[in-house]
Amino acid sequence: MKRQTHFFQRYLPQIVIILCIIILLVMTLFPLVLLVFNSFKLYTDDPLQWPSDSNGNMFTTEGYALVWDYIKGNYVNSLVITFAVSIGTTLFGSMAGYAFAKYDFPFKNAIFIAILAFMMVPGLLTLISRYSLIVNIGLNDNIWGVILPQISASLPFATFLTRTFFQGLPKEMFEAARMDGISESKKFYSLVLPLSKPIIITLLVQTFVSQWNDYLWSRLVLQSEDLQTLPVVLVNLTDTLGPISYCIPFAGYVLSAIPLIIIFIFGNKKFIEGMTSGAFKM
Amino acid sequence: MRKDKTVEQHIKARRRKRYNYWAFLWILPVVVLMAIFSAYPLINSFILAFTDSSGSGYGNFVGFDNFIELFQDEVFWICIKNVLIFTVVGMICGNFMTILLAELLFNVKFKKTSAFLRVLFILPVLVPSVVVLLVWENIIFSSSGLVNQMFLAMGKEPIAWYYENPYNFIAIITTNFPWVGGTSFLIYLAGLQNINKSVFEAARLDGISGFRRVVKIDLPLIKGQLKYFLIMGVIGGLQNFDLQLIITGSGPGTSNGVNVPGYYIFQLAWSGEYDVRYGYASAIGVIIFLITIGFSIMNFRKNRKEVMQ
Repeated sequence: MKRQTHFFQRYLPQIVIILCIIILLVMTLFPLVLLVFNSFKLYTDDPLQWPSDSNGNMFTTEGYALVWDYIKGNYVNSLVITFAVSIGTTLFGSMAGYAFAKYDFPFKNAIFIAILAFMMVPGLLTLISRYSLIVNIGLNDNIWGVILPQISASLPFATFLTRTFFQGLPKEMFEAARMDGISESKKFYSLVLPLSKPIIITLLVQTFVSQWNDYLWSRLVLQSEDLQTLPVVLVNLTDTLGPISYCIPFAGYVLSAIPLIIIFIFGNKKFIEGMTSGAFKM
Repeated sequence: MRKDKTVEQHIKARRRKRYNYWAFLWILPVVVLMAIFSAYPLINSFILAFTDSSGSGYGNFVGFDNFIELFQDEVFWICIKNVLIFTVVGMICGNFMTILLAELLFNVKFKKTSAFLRVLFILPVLVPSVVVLLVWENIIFSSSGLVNQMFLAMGKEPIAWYYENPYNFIAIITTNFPWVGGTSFLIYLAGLQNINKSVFEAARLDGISGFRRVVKIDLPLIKGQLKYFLIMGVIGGLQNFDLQLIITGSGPGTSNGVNVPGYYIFQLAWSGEYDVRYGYASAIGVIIFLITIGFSIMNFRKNRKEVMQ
């Protein structure tokens, strides 16, 4: 008997803590569980209803087939734009970060601070000007009108992050490479990039996730239906189908999560680093 | 004499070698892209804010007229009031719950359980943020959604959450409840894990535990993380209008019940609800920019004071 009270005294706080966490977890994941559940239902006006013969509802994968047919072009678009933005940002950002870390040149600090200062500029301030610029240079309704400004917007952070990393690489290694007469560009590709794999992957993941999530800018710039990105199409699809049967858009929502799920499965450590890297720039 | 000269030449040669002009080639893409797509729009926004541009071209220079009109514009003040409420309430609730979760996870003694639970809380990030809003619109707050079903079960009337004043206000704030899914809690958790174990040991010996320890010891020691989320929350919150853009609009009809500056800019420039006014809309952007910068500088100065002491 005494032993039992001892056991409870010892583990009761832990049980309470884990119970609280599980309650929070259920509340956090419940909407997503409902989403997946309803994407397999014919009628979804009642999200909690379990399909059966008596209520005339049933399980179906038809939603996925229909929505994939409808969104596949936009899915490819989204992937192309997202890859272009994340690769462009990472390549240009790490090139500049390398120069700022390892070279000396006139106005180096002034240029660096000027680049960093753009992290303080709210995107909302420049929204209209960026849009009219895109219209004026003829990139409206063109995927480059999304790609180039989005790269530009993520470059300050990319430059900052890679510079910090390159500064940590040993100087002696570069000296040795210089003495061996290896050219600058070769040094970058065969020495620096392989060594900086961790930071490069973190940066790739971070820009990939944020571009995959982008809605506003893609919606403004891309008007033709076949150029639009996935989030825009999903919003439009939801609006046009109305509250009749949501399994079609719901299936689309589930499909939109696949690229991030793949990244997460293959490298959840890198994924988490990419998502939290912003906190360490302070 | 001759020796001096060689030293001088030597220094000169070294100085010349120190500058590597190839570096400009390395930073060229960044400089060109940012000059066109970041710097030019920034300058242009400030110019536009002083014109009556209505979409194409600059129109006429109107001095401070846009700003004077803004201060007399009732809609603008409603927007400011709304965005302040959304930002402050959202930040308090969100950070409270996130710290709560971090504390709970931090105090789980079973390492593997804790690690497993952590991964599960990250899962919502895998769904695009727009889709999360659509899920809340169509599953949680829809006409026969989760919340209305609970209301029916309690014998209350169902509500059109996102489309009726003042419920849309409540719905916007509670969207994403309990606000912990994602990766923010990891940053707080990392902060807690960085605290030296001897601090907790000392607290335990002094008989400080539970809630008092959290307030007196944990919170002051994760001040860096708190400050980060404070700054990010204000900067992001003032600009945010995703919910308005995707679901609610400015509030039922022309009430502007849930309008925010970001959405007002969108309305003035693109939605067709008003005559197109790029100049006036840019002035709103400038005001938001000034508030953000003012806040950052205030925070920076406070930091410096703390460091000096």
